[in-house]
Parts: sequence; structure tokens; C-alpha cells
Amino acid sequence: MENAFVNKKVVKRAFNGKRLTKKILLNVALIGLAIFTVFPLFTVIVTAFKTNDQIVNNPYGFIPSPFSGQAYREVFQRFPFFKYLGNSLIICIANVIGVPLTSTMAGYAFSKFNVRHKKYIFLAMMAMIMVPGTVLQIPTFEMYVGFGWINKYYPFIIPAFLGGGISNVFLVRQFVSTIPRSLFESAEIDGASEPVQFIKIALPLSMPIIMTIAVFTFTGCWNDFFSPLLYLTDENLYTLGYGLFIFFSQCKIGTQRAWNIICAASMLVMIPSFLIFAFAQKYFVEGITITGIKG
Amino acid sequence: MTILKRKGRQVFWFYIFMLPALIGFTGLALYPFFRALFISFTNRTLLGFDETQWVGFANYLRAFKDPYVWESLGTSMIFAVFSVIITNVMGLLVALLLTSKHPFIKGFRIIYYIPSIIPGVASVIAFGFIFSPSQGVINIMLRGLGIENPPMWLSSTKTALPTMILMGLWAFGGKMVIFLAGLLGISRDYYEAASLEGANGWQMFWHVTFPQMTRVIFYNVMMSIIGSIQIFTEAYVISGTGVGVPVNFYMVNLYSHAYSGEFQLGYASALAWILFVVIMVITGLYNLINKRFFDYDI
Repeated sequence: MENAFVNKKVVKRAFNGKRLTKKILLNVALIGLAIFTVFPLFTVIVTAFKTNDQIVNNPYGFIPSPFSGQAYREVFQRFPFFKYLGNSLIICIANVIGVPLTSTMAGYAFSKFNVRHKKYIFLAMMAMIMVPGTVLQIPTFEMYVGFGWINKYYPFIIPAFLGGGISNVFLVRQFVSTIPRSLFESAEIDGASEPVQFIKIALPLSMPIIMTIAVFTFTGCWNDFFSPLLYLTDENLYTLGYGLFIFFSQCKIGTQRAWNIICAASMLVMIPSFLIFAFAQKYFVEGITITGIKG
Repeated sequence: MTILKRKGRQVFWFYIFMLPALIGFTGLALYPFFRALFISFTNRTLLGFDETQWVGFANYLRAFKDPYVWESLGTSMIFAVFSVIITNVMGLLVALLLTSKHPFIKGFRIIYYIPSIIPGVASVIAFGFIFSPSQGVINIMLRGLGIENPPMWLSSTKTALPTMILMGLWAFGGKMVIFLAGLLGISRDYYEAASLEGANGWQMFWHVTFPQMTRVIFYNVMMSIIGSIQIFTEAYVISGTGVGVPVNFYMVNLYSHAYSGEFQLGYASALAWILFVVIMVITGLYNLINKRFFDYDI
């Protein structure tokens, strides 16, 4: 009897010890990864508070001793922040309207209507997804130059209203196919025309996927570097993402790179992305999930 | 409604709703796809439309004969291989971590995903500063530890590529989220059955988790390959701003021929098509390997 009692106690303690170690390790790992992830951003934030002197004379100190907003003030003097902000907003808002709209229309059509050659169109689109953007980019560039679209916003806005990308169309199609046909059928019996069915039934029910597409579209558009690089040479038309790059190359204090001002500019550019992310992170995570799992 | 009338109606509305996307698909995907193939056989440049001539395989031969092109392909492929392996392993491991119970699990998930919403330029700024040989934190710490000649990171041709691979590791969050979704989709029943048969953690991973995850792993790795072999923004920004030495990536080379200098669209299209074929071959091989060794469901 006594032995059994002691054994039980020993076993229980050993079990708890192992559990505790596991828990500690888990926390260490999670927190360590968090630090690893956040650290570059933290560096940027902190550096943005250094004064110009600290950058030039004291490159070894990590934490600024007086926290100074000097870098931020200089950003506004040296970097046409608000102009670029306006440019980015124009482009991104247009995209956030156009892409969800046209991709939803197309995805809905794929799912709802039966047309003889639908399968071929679908296969063709599937095949195109595998083609790297690089191949398509060059003739597109050739075409836009031919249209005279350099230094105009057409290359940024027109494609958004032309279906906004094949993957989005497929996402919507997938989603719409889960809406029960009966909903549409009963509406039709009640005399609803196709556009009405789309607006009153499909759209409201598809809000999750539409929001996801909108959120990803905005972020992609905001952070887009390649298109402005290709199509904009007039510096009045630059977007924030691209303007930051130019600014980064040129911004100096004397002969040294002005890291504090650059970091301050970066922070300002990243804020909208963070805001969208904060308010809509549900859509980010779910959106990626849907994209990945259905594959 | 007669059947014909109904069918006609379907056709009508299908094309109405599909119109923008169809125009987009034709103009921005189908047309460029074939046009790129066509001009890769010409000497098309932006500067001389009327002088474009058919040159057959000259562009391709030029690419094959150019050691710089081979080097760029090699560099991009090395980068892709390491990047794919490291990022996906990391993503999977962290996803596994995130399946444990912890009060702040959702918060961690969000934190790990943040790098994916940062513009490429900004991450180059952050890492450029951190890895700065003279002012960067890493080297400051290394010097503090007594290491006299810390690595030059992005500023040396020897260490630039590994540094960039390391930078890629930072964005494991995108892959992690997909892996996590896959993991959460595995039914608990499997695990219960396995533990009834006396499986330990490691065995459970190999015999329950891994087989169920084949599809997700396949997708993630495929996307990683296609994406990382085309790396451009980071490389361009690093060399363009002087934060580091230029590294010869395939896309950077292609860019320099297509969109600057003489705008040699014909030659660049040949380079692009070569890349496309390479990617096709790699993904085809990967698909075959997957089918042969992991024939679970694909």
C-alpha cells in the first residue's frame, strides 16, 4: 500500500515536470520568434527617433538618448510625402473598387451560368496561372508604350477593372459555388432578373471573399514597386512605395546616408498597411487559408 | 420558359458578367503570352518598330552563349532552392508550434504574419541598416563580443547571397499560415487512434500529420519555387541604393535588357521564355517526384 502511494506521487511529479519544461520551451520559442520577427521593424522605429547628429557622430549607439522628432520633420521637408500619398491613394482606391467588382462578376458567372465552352475558358485560365508574370510583362509593356501610357495612371487602373487577376476570379467562383442554387431559383420564380439576383443574393453572401480580395488588393497595390518602376519617370506621379525607394537612394546628411530620416519615411509609408492589417487581419489570414487549402 | 430561351439567356448573362474579365484575360494574358513568344524570335526593341526583323533563334543562342546569363540562372536557382527549403521548413515548424494551446496564440500568429504586408523597399531599408557593416546592430554586437572582422553581409560578393537568403527567412509567415490551416484541418480522430496504438509524438508526426499535409506542402513548395526564382525587388533595391553589392539574379539581368538601355524586348522575351521553360521543368519534376514517393492523393 505504501509503495503504491509513493509510486503514484513520483509518477505525478515526473509527469508535471515534463509538462512544465515543454511549456517553458514553447514560450521561449514563441517569444523568440516574435522578437526575431519584430526586431527589424523595431530597429526602423527606433532609428527614426535619432537626431542627425546621432546618425553621423554616434553610429554605434542603438537607443537614441534624447528621442527626437527631428527625422520626422525633415521627412516632410525633403520628401513630397503628401503628394505621393495622394497618388498612391488614387491608384489603390481605384484598384480596391475595380478588382473585387470585376473578379466577383466573373467568378459569379463561372459558377452560375452554364455555357457550352465554359470548360475551355476555365482551362485556359488555369493554364495561364502557371505562367510567370515576367513573360507577360514585356509585351504588356510594349503595348502600353504603344498606347502612350507611360507616365499616366492607366496601366495601374485599367487592369483593375478588367477582371483583376485570374486567381481572384477562381476564388470567387469557388465561393459562389457553395451558395445553394435554391436561393437563386426561388428568386427567379419571384421574377428577379439576373442582375437583381447578383446584387441582392450573391453579393451580400459573398462579402467574406470580396472583403478578402479587397484587402489583399489594397496591400498589394500599396506596396507595389515594380509597376511604378516600369511606367513612371515623372517624379510628380510617383507612388509612396516607389518614392520611398528614390528617397532612400538620395537621402543623405552630408556624405552619410541619413538612416533616421529614411526610417521615419518608411514608418510613414507603412502606416496604412498596418492600419488595414489591424482592422482586417481576419481577412488576411482566412484569405490565405482559402487560397492555400483549395490548392 | 422554353429551353432554348433559357439557354440563350444563360449565354447572354454569362458573357455580360464575364466581359471585363474576358477582355482582361485576352489582352493581358493570352495576347502577351503569344506575343512574347513571337518577339523572342525577332530583334524587337522599343526604338525601332519598323526595323524589327525575324532573327530565328538568335536571341536564344545569344542567351545560351552568355556566361553572365548562366551565372544569373544559377544564382537565382541556388537562391530558390535554399529559400524554398528554409522558408517552408520554418513555416511548417512554427505552424506546428501554433497548434499548441497558449492564451496568446492568435497574437503570435498575427505577429509572425506582419512581414508579409511590409513593402519590399521597407524591408530592404530595415535589413540594410541592420546588416550595415559599419553601423548595423549585428556587427556592433559581434564586435562587442570581440570578433574583430565581422562579415560584410550585403556588402561583400561572398556573403551577399547568403544574407539575402537569410532575409527571405524573415517572411516565413505567409507559408506558416497556410500550413497552419492545413494542420488544423486534420481530424483529431487520427491522433486518438494513433495514441491508442501507443504512438509517441514523433511517430504521430510521421504517420498522421505528414501524410495528411502532403497536398498543402506540395502547394506551398510549388508556389515558393515559382516565386523565389523570380526574385527581383529586393535585389534591385539593394544594388540600386548601394546598400549592398549587386548580385547577379536572373530577373535583374532580364530587367536591364528589357526596360533600360536599348529596351531589347526581343532578347528579353527570349530570356523570359527560357525562365518559363525552366520553371515548367522544375515544377514538372517536382510533381513527378511527389507522385512517385508520396502517392497519397495528388
